[in-house]
Amino acid sequence: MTAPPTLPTRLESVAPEFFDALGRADEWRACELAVGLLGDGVHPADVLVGLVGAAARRIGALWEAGEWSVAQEHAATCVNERVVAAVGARIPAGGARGSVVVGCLDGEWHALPARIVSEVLRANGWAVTFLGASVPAEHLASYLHQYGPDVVALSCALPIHLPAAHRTIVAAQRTGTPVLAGGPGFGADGRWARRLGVDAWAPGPVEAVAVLDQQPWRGAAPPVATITAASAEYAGLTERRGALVGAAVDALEGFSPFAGPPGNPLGSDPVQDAGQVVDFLGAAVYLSDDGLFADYLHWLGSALGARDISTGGLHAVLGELAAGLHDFPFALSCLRQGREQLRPGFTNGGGER
Amino acid sequence: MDRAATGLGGGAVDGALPVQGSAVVPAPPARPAAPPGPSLAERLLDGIAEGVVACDAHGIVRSANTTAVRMLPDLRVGELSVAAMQVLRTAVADAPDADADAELALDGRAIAVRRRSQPGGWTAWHLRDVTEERARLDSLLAERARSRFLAAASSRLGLSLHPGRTARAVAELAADELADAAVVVLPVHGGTVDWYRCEHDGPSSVGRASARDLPGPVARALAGLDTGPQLLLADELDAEPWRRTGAGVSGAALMALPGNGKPAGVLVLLRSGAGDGATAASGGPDVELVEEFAQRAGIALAAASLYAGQARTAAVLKRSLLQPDLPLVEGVALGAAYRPAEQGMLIGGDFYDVHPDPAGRGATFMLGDVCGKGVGAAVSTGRLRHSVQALRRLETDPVRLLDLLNDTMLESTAADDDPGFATVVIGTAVPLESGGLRLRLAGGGHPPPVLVRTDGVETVEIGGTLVGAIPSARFRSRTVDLAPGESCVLYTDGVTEARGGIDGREEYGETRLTDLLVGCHVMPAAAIAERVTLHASRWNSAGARDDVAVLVVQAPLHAAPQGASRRHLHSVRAAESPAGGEEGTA
Ligand code: B12
Repeated sequence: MTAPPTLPTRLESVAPEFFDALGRADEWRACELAVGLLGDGVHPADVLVGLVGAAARRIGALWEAGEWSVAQEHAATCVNERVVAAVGARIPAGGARGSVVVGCLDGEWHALPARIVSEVLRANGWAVTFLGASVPAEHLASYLHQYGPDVVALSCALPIHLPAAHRTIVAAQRTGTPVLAGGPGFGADGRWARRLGVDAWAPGPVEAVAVLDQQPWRGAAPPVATITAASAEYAGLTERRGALVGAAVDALEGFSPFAGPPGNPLGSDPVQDAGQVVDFLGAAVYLSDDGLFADYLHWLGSALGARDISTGGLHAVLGELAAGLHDFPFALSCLRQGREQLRPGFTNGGGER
Repeated sequence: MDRAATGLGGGAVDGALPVQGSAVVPAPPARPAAPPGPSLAERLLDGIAEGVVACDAHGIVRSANTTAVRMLPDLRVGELSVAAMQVLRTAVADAPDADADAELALDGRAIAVRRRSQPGGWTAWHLRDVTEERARLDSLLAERARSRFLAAASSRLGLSLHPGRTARAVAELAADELADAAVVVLPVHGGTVDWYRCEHDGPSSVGRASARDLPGPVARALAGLDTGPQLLLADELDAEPWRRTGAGVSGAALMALPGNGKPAGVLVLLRSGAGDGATAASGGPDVELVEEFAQRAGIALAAASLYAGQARTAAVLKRSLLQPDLPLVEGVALGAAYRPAEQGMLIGGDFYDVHPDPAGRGATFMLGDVCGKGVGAAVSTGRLRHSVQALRRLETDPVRLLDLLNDTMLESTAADDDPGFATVVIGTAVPLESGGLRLRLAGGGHPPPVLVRTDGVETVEIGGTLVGAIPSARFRSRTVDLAPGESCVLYTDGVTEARGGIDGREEYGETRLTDLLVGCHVMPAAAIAERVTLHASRWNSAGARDDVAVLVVQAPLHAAPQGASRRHLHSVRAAESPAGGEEGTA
């Protein structure tokens, strides 16, 4: 297969029409375009990362900016998944290099990135089993015992799942299977992945192929999570979760803090929406990283702003959390910083997504 | 009290060794007169096992006891004794002036050297033979290293229950600690053996060999005929996987790995001929250590193969109980999602099925919930699904199909007192000329399906009684038409009865479900099914899970282009099915 110098141009020239097809949920056209690129000699990895992955991010940006509704986003994502499958169907079965099991963490429903990773690994000669979205740790462990792959690759899109990630990583390592982590949920540079003691991290599937070839875990002492028995604060916060969400919902008097324009609210269920804030705070406490919570609020602020939703509801939630966690110094400092950060005119450097 | 003037030395030297404590060496009342001979202090020093040398500020040896002279025969009192002293000074070279301790090897003995500076620029050297001490310590350390290795081996070998992974761990551990390369051969299976080879600090490889090509000793050990350690000759090492790598493999030792009754495998340790093999094995493998390691490896391999056997049995059973991949049906778009409560097994009491009409006009579909959870429910489910598959050939009308199913289930219930009643929705979908879809839905005590319309959502009340509970059960049907893009969502009560909310006890409920589906008519069937499952399980985040199944039947929005094959689109695997690439249709 030749990699023509015009390759990026081929992708670029197809991208607008491809995105247009996603917007119309026209899976036929979208598949045709993607598969056509393969026919032109573009490598599957480039189609999957450069076309499908890039489109997915753009979908996310449009949704975040309030320009696309949830339904539009879902429809386009679903077509995107079909495209991955159609491209994958043209990749011959691999296996010579070894076997990898790919899965999402418990509670993680962003399956598309993991699907892309699966197909890129397959295109590079690995036998891949994709376990799908939201794989509970115990399910993963029993699968690993049964099939004994060389590596398990875990994908995490949202840092909210990091406490669950820790459980899953430990469960996988207990079966003697090394863990490769990836996805934005593990931190931009994989820093949270390392704190949770993974055997390797890669920023993307192409880099993952190189990492897998090096087998960095071979002969090395098993990595150790720098988080042990996570802070007592996390345990306490988990215990109080119900009460905290309850207090926040009471304060909101039945309204969602993220309720917005009828066609396109950021959220609608006060219980789930307040729960999300608590869980992000929980993840920040678990990792003792206040930047995690700040990033989340930064994202939230811009998504609310794009929909002209006031941050009043969010302030109320943060206030209730601060009251309910008055004896939790780390959580309190996250909340204090957060409220500071939400003040109009406040600019912060980080948190770019 | 300054004793610097107190002579200790023999008459040949004036000046004295400064002594700081008088308890050991009582000071003589006066300088002894000639004849020069060993002083009392010297005689005392001569009696001890430690060598003692004293030098003055110029480096001249002023005193040396018998032990010191025995250790360093070139030592001469009254001289610089450069050669002898150089040995000591080199030993403590790092610390030229100050007090220092070091160890040095003299004629195969280990000597501990201690230098202490004394007043007046003098230096005292103490030499102690620590050879035996060191040997004891070394063997203690070696013993510790052995037990550390064995402990590490045990904990690593205890991890996996997969035979291949375990075999590889055995090979890696052995190659790193016991040999220059190690091969593990698993028992003969269908005339072949699987082997795992690993190089010291190097890569590992796997392969399969014919049992007939095994070297005799390996075959005998695998068969359980020779169980002790044995040697393989160089000419037996000429084939994969024992082929020598690099410069001369001198030979190999092999050892059966004891399992349950028969060997769980054989371990072959390859050693390179070169003496500097850099491994513990280059000095010859420590047979005891290898045997202990083999014990542990054998236990781990045996446990893994036992587990694999049980898992295979379970998998065969399970295959008939797993949810099916959706078929491709012309003119009908389908999407499904399934989350069993018993995650480890992936089976449960919820089910769905779609059977394309043999004449090519649409499909029969169903979704339901057998009472109970886990394996028992899964078995009842499998039976029910097989019944419908058979009955469907006799009857396509949904209501009469439910009647037949009710009778069949009551009969089998009577036969083996299994209270396997169920709630079910059965329907047919027939494409319309207009591009839409006509559905006939019949229900047996199941939550009402939800229609996702262009202008909102509605539920279809179809009532009916439980299936398989009473002989006089009554079923009804309703007919609905779907416009292109519209969907009918079937779900089990695992969705609406998911417990969550603030206190973890509130049900997700039909209202939340219908709210969730508003505006979803633009979404493909699979995305709708996923959305419902996602939200139900998020609601459920804290509590125990119930089985969840969702089936979406949709009138396609975009018709397939003429003559296009749907095949290539449909390899999006169900969430739990391996994407190993078997579906590589192009
Ligand atoms: C599609 C989508 C969904 C779909 C997912 C469906 C599916 N089948 O995948 C659904 C609707 C379920 C969803 C839900 C939610 N989503 Co969403 N989603 C997205 C979207 C648009 C695309 C995701 C994607 O596929 N990206 C493309 C891939 C290719 O990029 P990637 O994830 O970076 O992956 C690459 C690398 O990171 C790496 N990689 C990834 N995994 C791995 C694994 C390994 C082993 C390796 C080596 C590498 C690797 O390789 C990939 C390929 O290059 C993103 C937008 C975005 N920017 O990504 C939002 C996004 C991730 N979602 C977001 C949010 C907030 C949510 C929700 C919380 C919304 C809500 N309020 O309900 C829920 C949470 C659900 C849950 N609990 O999991 C936010 C996250 C914001 C934040 N700061 O964390 C984003 C960024 C949208 C946005 N711009 O605001 N989402």
